[in-house]
Amino acid sequence: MKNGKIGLLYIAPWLIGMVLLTIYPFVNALFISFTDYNLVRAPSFIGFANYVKLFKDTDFLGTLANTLKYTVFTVPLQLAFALFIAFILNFKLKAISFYRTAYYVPSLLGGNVAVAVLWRFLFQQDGFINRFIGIFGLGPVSWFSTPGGAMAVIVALKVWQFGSAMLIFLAALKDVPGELYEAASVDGSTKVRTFFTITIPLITPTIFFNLVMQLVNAFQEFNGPYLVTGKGPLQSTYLTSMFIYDNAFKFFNMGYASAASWVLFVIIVAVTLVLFATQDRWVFYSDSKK
Amino acid sequence: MKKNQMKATAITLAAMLAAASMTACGGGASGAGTAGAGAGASGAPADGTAAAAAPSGEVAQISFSWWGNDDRHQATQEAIDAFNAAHVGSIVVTGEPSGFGNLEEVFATRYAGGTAADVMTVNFPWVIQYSPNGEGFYDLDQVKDVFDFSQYDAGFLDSGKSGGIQTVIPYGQNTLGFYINKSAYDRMGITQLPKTFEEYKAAAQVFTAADPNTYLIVSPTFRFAAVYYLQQKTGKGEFADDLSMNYTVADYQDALTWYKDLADAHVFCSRKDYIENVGSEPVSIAQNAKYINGGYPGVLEWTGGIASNAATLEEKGDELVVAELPVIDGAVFKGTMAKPSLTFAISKDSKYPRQAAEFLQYILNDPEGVKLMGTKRGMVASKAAQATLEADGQITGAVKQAYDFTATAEVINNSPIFEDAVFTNAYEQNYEKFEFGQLTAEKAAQAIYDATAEQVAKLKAQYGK
Repeated sequence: MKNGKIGLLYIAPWLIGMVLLTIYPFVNALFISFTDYNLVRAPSFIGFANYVKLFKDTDFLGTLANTLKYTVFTVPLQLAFALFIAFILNFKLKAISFYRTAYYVPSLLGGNVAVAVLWRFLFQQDGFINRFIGIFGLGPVSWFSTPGGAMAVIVALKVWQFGSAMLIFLAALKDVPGELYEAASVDGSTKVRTFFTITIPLITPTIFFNLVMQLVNAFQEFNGPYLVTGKGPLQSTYLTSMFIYDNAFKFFNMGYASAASWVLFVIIVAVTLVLFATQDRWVFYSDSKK
Repeated sequence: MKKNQMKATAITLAAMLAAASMTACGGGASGAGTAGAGAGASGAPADGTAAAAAPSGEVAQISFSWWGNDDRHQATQEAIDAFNAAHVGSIVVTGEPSGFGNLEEVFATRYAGGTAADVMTVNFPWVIQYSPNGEGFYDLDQVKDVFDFSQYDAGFLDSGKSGGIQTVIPYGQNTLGFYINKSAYDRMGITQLPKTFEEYKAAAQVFTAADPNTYLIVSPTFRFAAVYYLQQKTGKGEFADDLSMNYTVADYQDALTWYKDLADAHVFCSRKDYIENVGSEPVSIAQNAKYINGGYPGVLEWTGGIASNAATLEEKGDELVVAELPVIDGAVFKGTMAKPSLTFAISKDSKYPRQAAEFLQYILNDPEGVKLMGTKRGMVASKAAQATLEADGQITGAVKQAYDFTATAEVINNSPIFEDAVFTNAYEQNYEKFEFGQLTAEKAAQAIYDATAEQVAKLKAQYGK
């Protein structure tokens, strides 16, 4: 058998899964977005009515604003935190493998039910967080029943899951040539200056990669807010992915939910393209001609 | 890292992640429109004489889905085990329990995907939704030689018909009532339980003096209290038989201000406190920490939930009792609302409908099965089941009180569309905006009315009303 065919055979399980579980529903959702469909009865074609209704729907527009706010808060915080921890773990420390694993665990746990229960315990009125800030004479804060508090809780949950970005940063930091640091040291550069003038520029491709990945993830975030705060007070943590879920599986407006999915998809693609358009200005690749 | 390599990886992963956002709601259009087909064509013997046994040598594998709390899961599993033990080599029932969350999402997805259990628990409103012509579930008249329908009041059994076909068996009547944690009141020195809303206000002052965060009554959804009020005010349910709306914008506005006044007095739970301690979605209160700890010393809930609500308090040594229904000022109706509680259906796609019917006969009418199932699903409608449970001493305490309450309460029966999620969502969302000061009562009422009217029009068209 030729190498190409063997290769195809190897990736067949993934390919089949991709076609059946991603591409087919992806295309099918576009078709359904032009219909009125409630799962039980056959879809009926209604043209662009779902899209027209979406842009007049204050709930939907509100979820877009919430999603944008959530993304703006979580992505920079998560990347900064991941880079900070990766930087520390890049030093030669004892039991470094343990620390790497321990910091990665939250990413594995993600937004599951157990974490949701834990998070609710932490932030409830007589929970650990309120008791802790009480030591400094602050609070108690009604985390779940104030719009700002509820958003802070889900942002903290997302930032806490920094492990995968951290590991990628760690790999990038290890790729920075040691002789550059030695040269900087000989020239009298401080640690802070070395970090911002050598380390950061050399890992900008990784920063860019993590930025794109975390941005796309944040726009689609569902589990954390859904399990921990729900819609939140005044729908302050009602993200677009939750709006899609509610319309699909609670109100059974599958056409409307599919249209919202496509709008979200277009927004994600647009934001990603904008990021790619800006990379020539701040991302430095090793084979760049500049 | 090389530019092209990094760029390609980022583009590929970003595209895949973004595309994944589209896949959750695609739904299988190919399966659409098939719900009405095939009723009664699922292999049940037509002669009606055969015993409920699978073809020779074949073991009938049946699945049974239900929802509830741990106490219900345990009782049901015991009944399943006993049934299986008595049918070794012929029928095996597998339990598919779930919690109270996302009930309809799960049901709809499984139903549309053709993976529903052989015997399924069906919420009353779903009967008209999934089987408006009686063809969405197995025709139970085909198994009347296996299941004893004579144990049910004929009129009550009719609530399980759609399109003139007996599609589900209603388990019992659910009545909305007030239940009080008597032990919590005792601890406050209140020996006379409140009977009017004024007395609730007075009791709230005593409770809040000890703990300012106490609210006397919490409910799975804020809409229960609103409709309780509006039924007493108008003497009508929220929807007429033809599914038309019975309440006006002014009615909804009255309900909003009435509830908020009582929430401000710490009688009903405020929306802010509910979000902080329960969540933003309707949910059973039985497992809620604040309820168990006496921070909510009362619930407004269906009788079907009272066993669970009482059980969690019992574990702490507290006693739950049924309270007298309070009546609003100027009431034209002094009762509450009711509906058939959960119902049971057999899948129209089941390979073993007769065995499924035999299992239903066991858990709903047979003395052994009924004893094991107990009272974890609230009031039973089967005469045989009620006699068995009474003889077995299971109808006691709060459950006995709930039976007595159900037997005597004046009720208005809910429309099958009452529990549509759109109505509850519209009410809760706009009440929340009103309580948080984002909307006036008038605007919130108008928004509730408009959202309700829009959904009613849609449902009327769907159900041909």
